[in-house]
Amino acid sequence: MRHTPIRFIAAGALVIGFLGGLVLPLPGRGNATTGDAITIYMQPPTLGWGSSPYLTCGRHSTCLPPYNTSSALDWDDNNTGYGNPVYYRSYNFTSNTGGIIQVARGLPLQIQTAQDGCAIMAVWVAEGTNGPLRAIPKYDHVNVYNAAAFPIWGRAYPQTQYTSRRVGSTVNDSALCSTTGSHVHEDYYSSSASYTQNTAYPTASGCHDNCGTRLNSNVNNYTRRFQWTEGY
Amino acid sequence: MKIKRIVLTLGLLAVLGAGGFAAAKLIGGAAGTEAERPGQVDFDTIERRQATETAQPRFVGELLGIFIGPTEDTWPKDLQDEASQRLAGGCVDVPRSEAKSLDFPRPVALPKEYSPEELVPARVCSGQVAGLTWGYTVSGVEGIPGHVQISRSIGKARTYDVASDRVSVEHFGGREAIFIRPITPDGLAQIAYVLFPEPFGVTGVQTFNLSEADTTAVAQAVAEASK
Repeated sequence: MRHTPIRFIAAGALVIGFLGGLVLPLPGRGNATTGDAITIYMQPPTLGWGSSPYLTCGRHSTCLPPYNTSSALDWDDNNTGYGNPVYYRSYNFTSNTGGIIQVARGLPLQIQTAQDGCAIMAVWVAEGTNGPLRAIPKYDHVNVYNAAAFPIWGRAYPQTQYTSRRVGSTVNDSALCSTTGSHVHEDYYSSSASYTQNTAYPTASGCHDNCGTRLNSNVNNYTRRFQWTEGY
Repeated sequence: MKIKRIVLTLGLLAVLGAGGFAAAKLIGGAAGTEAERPGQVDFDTIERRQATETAQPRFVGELLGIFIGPTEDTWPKDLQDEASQRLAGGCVDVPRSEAKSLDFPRPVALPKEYSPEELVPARVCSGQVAGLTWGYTVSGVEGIPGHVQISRSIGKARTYDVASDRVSVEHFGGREAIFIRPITPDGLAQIAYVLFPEPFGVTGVQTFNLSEADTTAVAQAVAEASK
């Protein structure tokens, strides 16, 4: 009788440990389960950082009559030739106040070549270092320039941390793609992050020749925003 | 003595708790509940596969009357000239109805999981109908978006920078075609190609993030539609 309480406590410890093991995930393969809120604000992808590229078509699918509204934006690169730099650009925030941390990792991939349509590349953005795929920004009329994966660092608001990485080059894909001149059709594919687009941009139905310029290093000029909770 | 007993008891409880945790992890792992989050990708593996492929000798040559090389300068001179003349006059959109000569004799019957993308106009280059395209999206490997692009276009040369051992001639739906396999059969984050020779040029299929088996199934449907 004298030992009963300790037996109960021991059994309780075993059960609690077992249940904890069932419920709590282990950090593995770069998966942090911090519950931190991660937000990525995509920026215009052309010209050098701190420049103001022309927006040549408001939110659209294809920038052609009848100018159907969708999520893409067309960015000029101020160059009449092809082979011009295209950048993955974003401001990255985390709710973690512990300084600058790697919130994601980007992998440039060619999705489609110009041999059968538009040249399309995308960047797979995975959580942490090798976590789940969270966001897929895409760039039309572009070939991959540097296929190496790269880290995406973030920090807590109001401090800012940005990524500007050359990932592609513009390409003449006009033989089988509805396009004219070197530019980037910037869009996204759905993935597990929640998605919001900046409503400050015009739609193609109202703007399809020259929609003005946007400073590509101003977080308020973000084109689209991806958000997720780390580990969930 | 009393303090020692308390410390020993707490230590025992900690060991039991950790043991329970480990047991749950072992059982959970064996049941496949660990690290099974959707869309989990290993970039290091993808990069390693790509690097291995890039280190292999590249395919340059002609199969079934279609020339393939990593860049246009590897093509025969007449094919290079033909391609540059086509682009020299510029390319414009025309309604698809004006490119009926390139259309499939019958619709491509893909399973309903393949969602067709918005149809885009046909292209005319230097006054000549150059091509018609069809795009589809589908849930691909690891539940990550996969893509299919089908084209019917003039010209008999392609710039594909691929390892020679990925290229072969196969039969799909009773038709001969050039098959450029994905780097690995799972097709994760990789492009594969199928090219059917046609009197007007080529029927081309590109897939991204589809397994080799799924690409084969798409190619069979395209072969049936093009007969």
